[in-house]
Amino acid sequence: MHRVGGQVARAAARATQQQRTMAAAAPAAPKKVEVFIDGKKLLCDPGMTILQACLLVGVEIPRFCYHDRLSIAGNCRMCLVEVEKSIKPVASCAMPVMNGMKVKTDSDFVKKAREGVMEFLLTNHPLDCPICDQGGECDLQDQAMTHGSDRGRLQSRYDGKRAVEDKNIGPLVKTVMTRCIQCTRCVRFANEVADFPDFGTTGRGSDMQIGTYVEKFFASELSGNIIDICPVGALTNKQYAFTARPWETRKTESVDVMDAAGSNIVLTHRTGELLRVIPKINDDINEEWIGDQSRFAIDALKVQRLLTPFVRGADGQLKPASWEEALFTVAAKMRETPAELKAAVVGGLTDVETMVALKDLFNRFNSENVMTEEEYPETSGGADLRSNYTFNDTISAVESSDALLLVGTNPRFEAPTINARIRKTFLYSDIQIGVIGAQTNLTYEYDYLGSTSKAIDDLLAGKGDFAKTLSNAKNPMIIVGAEALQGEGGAAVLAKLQQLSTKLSKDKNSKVLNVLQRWAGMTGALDIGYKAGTASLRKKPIKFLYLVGADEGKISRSNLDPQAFVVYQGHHGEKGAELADVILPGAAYTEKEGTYVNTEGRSQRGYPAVSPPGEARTDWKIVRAVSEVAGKTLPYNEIKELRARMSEIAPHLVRYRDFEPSSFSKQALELAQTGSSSEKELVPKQRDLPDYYQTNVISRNSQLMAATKRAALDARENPYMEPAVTQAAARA
Amino acid sequence: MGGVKAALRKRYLMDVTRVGRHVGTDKFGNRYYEDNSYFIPRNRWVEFPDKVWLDYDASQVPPDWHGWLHHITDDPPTVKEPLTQKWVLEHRENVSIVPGQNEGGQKYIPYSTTRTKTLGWQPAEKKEQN
Amino acid sequence: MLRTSILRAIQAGKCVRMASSGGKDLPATRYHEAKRVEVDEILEKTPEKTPVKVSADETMDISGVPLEHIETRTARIFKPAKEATQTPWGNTLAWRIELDNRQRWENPLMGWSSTGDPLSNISMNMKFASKEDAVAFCEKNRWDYDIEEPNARQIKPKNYGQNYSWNKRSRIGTK
Repeated sequence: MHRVGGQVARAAARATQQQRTMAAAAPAAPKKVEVFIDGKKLLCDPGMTILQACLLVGVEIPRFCYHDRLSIAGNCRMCLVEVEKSIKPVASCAMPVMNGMKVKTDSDFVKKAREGVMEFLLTNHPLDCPICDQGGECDLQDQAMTHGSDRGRLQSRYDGKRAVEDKNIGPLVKTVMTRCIQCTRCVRFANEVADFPDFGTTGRGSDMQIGTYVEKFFASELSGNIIDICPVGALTNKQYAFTARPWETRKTESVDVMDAAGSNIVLTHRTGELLRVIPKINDDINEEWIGDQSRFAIDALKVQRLLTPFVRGADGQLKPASWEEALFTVAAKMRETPAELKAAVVGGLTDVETMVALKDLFNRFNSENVMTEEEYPETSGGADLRSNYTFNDTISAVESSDALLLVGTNPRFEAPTINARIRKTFLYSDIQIGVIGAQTNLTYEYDYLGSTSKAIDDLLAGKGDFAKTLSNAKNPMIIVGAEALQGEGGAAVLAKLQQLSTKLSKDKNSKVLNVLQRWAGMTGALDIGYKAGTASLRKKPIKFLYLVGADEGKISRSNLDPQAFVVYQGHHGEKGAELADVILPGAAYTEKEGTYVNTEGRSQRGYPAVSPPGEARTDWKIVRAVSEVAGKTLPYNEIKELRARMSEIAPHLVRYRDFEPSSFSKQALELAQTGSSSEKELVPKQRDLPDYYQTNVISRNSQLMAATKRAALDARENPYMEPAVTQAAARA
Repeated sequence: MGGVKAALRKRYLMDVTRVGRHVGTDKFGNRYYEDNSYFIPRNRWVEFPDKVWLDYDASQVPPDWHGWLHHITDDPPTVKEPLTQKWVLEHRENVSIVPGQNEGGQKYIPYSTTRTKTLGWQPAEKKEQN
Repeated sequence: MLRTSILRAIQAGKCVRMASSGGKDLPATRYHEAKRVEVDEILEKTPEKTPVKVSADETMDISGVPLEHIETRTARIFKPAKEATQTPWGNTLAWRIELDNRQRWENPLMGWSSTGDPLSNISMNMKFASKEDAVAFCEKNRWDYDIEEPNARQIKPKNYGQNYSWNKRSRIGTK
């Protein structure tokens, strides 16, 4: 999909496009159109469809193919309405409003039309609601009840029922194609949002089928969303198959931690068991989508969990212990180790509450050695100024941007929902995108500017076409991946980008420079004053190390004092737990109330859906318990008191859902040190679809994510399903 | 056995000292008595054999005597042989609460019938010394 | 004399007095001669009940709700998000209250979930027409509350003709 060449031709096309948009924009303030919906007068924007106009007055038109975030198809015919002076019923989803139009949405004529459409749909739809996973949350079921006829004229003895063979589109989405009513929502999603153009329709009429023609893996990081948009049970969740009905589950609205976008999710659970994750609509962050990791990695929350505290015995073997024993062991070590030899490292999935409690605990022991596992530059004002580590312009600002530069990031896999927004902007506006980093499929076309920091120097110097595009742009944006700023020369890259963004930011509201973090907990950690990166830990032989969910293997025993005592607090037994002398079992993000600050700096609250398993406890309460046993009791017993403490540190942490703009970007420029002019590789680690599925401790433990990664690897070798199956068989 | 000692013993086991007509003894050594000067539920009783001592249990009474004891019939099995079939099993005491006598040698312990929902992590057996 | 006293006793004990038309004091023996007498004619007038007025903030003092379900609870006032799995927006209309999630545990016999929280289901049962109603309810119950403003639904004008616009970027090759 990405094209690098053909710049001249595209420049010409761009010019014509710009002319066209200018011509369109010339008549300012379009006149409102007057329409009557069920006798109610309404003034609405021209170009709106009847269906949208009805929404404005709160009339929901029944529909299957129309979806708010997809293009209009107009093929289900369920949205028929009566328009005065029109002989035939009108498909309201596709018909634009016209001045003086009189629409009836509930007349007998409309009811009869709907009944007719519904009868046709049901003629070709199986009667398997009792064994269908969509049962209870099925649009067809609901609308058959409200708008359908009480009888059908199908003579199945003579006419037969349509049946379609199921397609295999990978380990995530289950297909029962007989149930498909050909609304083509999934096809439009695949083409417009996920950029998987192989998905389409074949055949005509009742022989029409949805699929990839030759069976293929649905190679997209957003593939799970076709489950949600499918109005019937044709596309369902393989993980959730035959598990529960929607009316018997509880729903908890929460926040996702798989990436730093902080997508809003709804956790569905029953009998203390997490069943599935579905997106929650939030137009500021994730619109209506979530990535496959967020949706499907939850099976890992049921395996490899730390269920009891462990204490390393005299024989060097970790043994299950009581909380009392574990806490007293930790507290004793904590008391006897001198302050400068103590350190704490938090992983990327940690909530702000825990980090605040841990920092307070270490401060009480006169230690400031609290750091994040993820690195971030120390110099150039890196973690000191908030504008240097947040997505300053907000995610939704991507839509109004007209020139976008991506530096050392692959948003497609680092934050799929943000990437979906970039693609949407790409499709529906004239945005020009430049990429410094890896030349991979980002689902949109871009100008590839190079793989090293030299490309930034060129942009600063004004060399090249894209430099001109950037400087001419009204709302330029730079998105830099946190990964690009790590390691040698990372600070210099940040400094150069600060210079570039200062050059580009003409009006004072936009900051241009946006940092895309990789971890849900990183922005929060930097907000409350954690040191970024574990480099300072290597300078001194640390004797007491407190790990909270640090599982990326950045620290090993060789970095520490040989006699070091390591405490691991977290939810999964992985690298961190193997390192530890004492393990304190904590809660995963679905099991605790926690605050997460997303990459924009928007603090959001997650709620517990289920209780922590076994002996595991909420993380901040563990830290609080340690503090009490160690003799320096933290002054909060309840989460309210802890949140009061959080608001003392940074008030925005408890101003939930609000975007908190950062200031001091001017000062950031003063602090910027370009330093060495050596080139830095800016190629992100995640380049291809298989790199997406297992990036954190939860998704690494997910069997489904492992299977999907395998399927993606197979699909890379051979995109067609059938030979891939034999490959897997050969491997086994 | 008789005299004061037997009276005390009876009092200890049954909280009363009473004497009745000995109606019969079953093959387990349980002795059955009747004294119709008592009201109806209390007029028939069983005395368990000496070896049982305090480990007596209602399930030690076989079904044929159970019928007489509970006034289901007035004819004890010694008078009227109860109907039996060749497939009727030998009477056994219910030992599920007696430690060490159950099948498998274990006292019955109630257990959770639900599947484990969350699997725990087990630390690696051998710790590599660094 | 004796008869009158008996009659008095009957009068006091029964609601309906039988009065004969012939003999003054004789009880009526025929149904059509009976005269219906209301209870109030026999019983003394009951004193009028005066309702006790309890102000909203006093309700919880006399309600008998355990203290742990008054002071320690935090409510979240919100409008549910639209179900991503379904088209209609009907469930987003009413405001709801959800209390902080207390621990649930698995019942070892059937695997069903048990909870010690009698208020765990109120978000399923209570709907409020407005945010203010929900706030008033929380204040009456003395719960702390956080209000979550819903994300407004954005309706961006869309057009069928956009499918055929030539500057659409997805229009490549044969599509």
